[in-house]
Amino acid sequence: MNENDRFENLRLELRRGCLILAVLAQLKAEQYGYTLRKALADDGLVIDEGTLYPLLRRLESQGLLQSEWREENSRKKRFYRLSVDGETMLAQLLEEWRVINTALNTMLQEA
Amino acid sequence: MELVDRYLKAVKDSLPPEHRDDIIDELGSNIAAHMDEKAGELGRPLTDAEQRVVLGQFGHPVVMAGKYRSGGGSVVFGRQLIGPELFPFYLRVLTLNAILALLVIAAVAIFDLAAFPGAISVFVVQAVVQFAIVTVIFAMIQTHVQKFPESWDPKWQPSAEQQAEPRRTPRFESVTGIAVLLIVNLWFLSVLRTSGARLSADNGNFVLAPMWHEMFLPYLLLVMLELTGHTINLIRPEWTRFRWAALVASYGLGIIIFGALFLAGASVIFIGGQSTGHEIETLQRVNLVFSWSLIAAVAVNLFLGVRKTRLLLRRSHESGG
Repeated sequence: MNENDRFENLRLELRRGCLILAVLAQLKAEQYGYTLRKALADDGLVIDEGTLYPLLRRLESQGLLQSEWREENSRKKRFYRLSVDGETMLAQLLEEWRVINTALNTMLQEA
Repeated sequence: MELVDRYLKAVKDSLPPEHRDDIIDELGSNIAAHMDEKAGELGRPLTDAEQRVVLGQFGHPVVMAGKYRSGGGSVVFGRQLIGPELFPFYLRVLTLNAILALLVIAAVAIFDLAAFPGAISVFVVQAVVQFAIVTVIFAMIQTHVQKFPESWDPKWQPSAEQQAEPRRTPRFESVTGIAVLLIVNLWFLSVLRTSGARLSADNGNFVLAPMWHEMFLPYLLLVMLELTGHTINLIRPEWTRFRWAALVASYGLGIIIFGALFLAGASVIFIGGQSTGHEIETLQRVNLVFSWSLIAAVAVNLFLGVRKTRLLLRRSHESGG
């Protein structure tokens, strides 16, 4: 495994948890897959289609999201938003994120 | 939107049946939104080349489908050999092979209980060999898909008209077919090639009749024809006539090979030493199983051959008219 592969693996690992947090945070407001991906990209977090769309279904199957099919601009679309459990989970994860972030900032400043 | 339909069909073929339609509807609506926006920016409908670029961003259909199936499994030896997206297919092929091997063990147990302990050790060796071969094949597919994610082109997928063809074979069936053909036949061809190889696990005196060894080259040709049929379906599924022609040839050859073996009489013979009453009884039972299996093989090849020949003739007639 070369240096690039190692970096890529670690980068993906680092991103994995962050993406879930970002998706949950964005879905406080209802969105469908394509607009969600755009909103994430606009905020600086590019996520490919092959990762995002299956992730949405997984989060829904875990009860963190709820969805419904609706027609918009004469096309049927599946809209997702946070469920009640999802809101609780998001709050817990954000708390954890803040703890990690503070700790890392402290360590990096010391270094 | 024909390219989108082809892409969605390719993804659909590899999805779990219970959520297939729902996932495809959602994926289709997201692709459509993506394409609508691009078309809006350009002020005109997208060309085929532009649609291919958009579909390329969604990734290889097998990988995309695998992500929906993914239960998080993977195979890692130092580096990841088989990722979560291919893992469900890998598991399916391994399970299929294990079932086939267990059926053979069950047959041994039914017909010769004395050979059962030996058969288990053969099963263990076979299981390790099969695991290694299947893992290598899937690791190669994983490497290919990762290194060349754009290596799939929707034009390779059959059009809606071709998809409506009732005899179309899903690509995944061909992947499984190739893996099973290679695993079973590499072993079987090595047996055919080794004249006098003992059949029973305890190195007893049962060997295949000489006629079977004479069938090595025709059987090798039969395997190559079947591999050709599966490979055509995998790479160029729209070449149905070539695939059917290869399969018709393989069924015809199958009838000749299995028919000749049946007519040749005993498939398994006894060599050297004094045979006990138990061994003679076992030999008779084994030969009976071989005879019925050969009759079944001829019947299956005849049935499939006639069916495919009719399809081939009908398609030729339609093309001619």
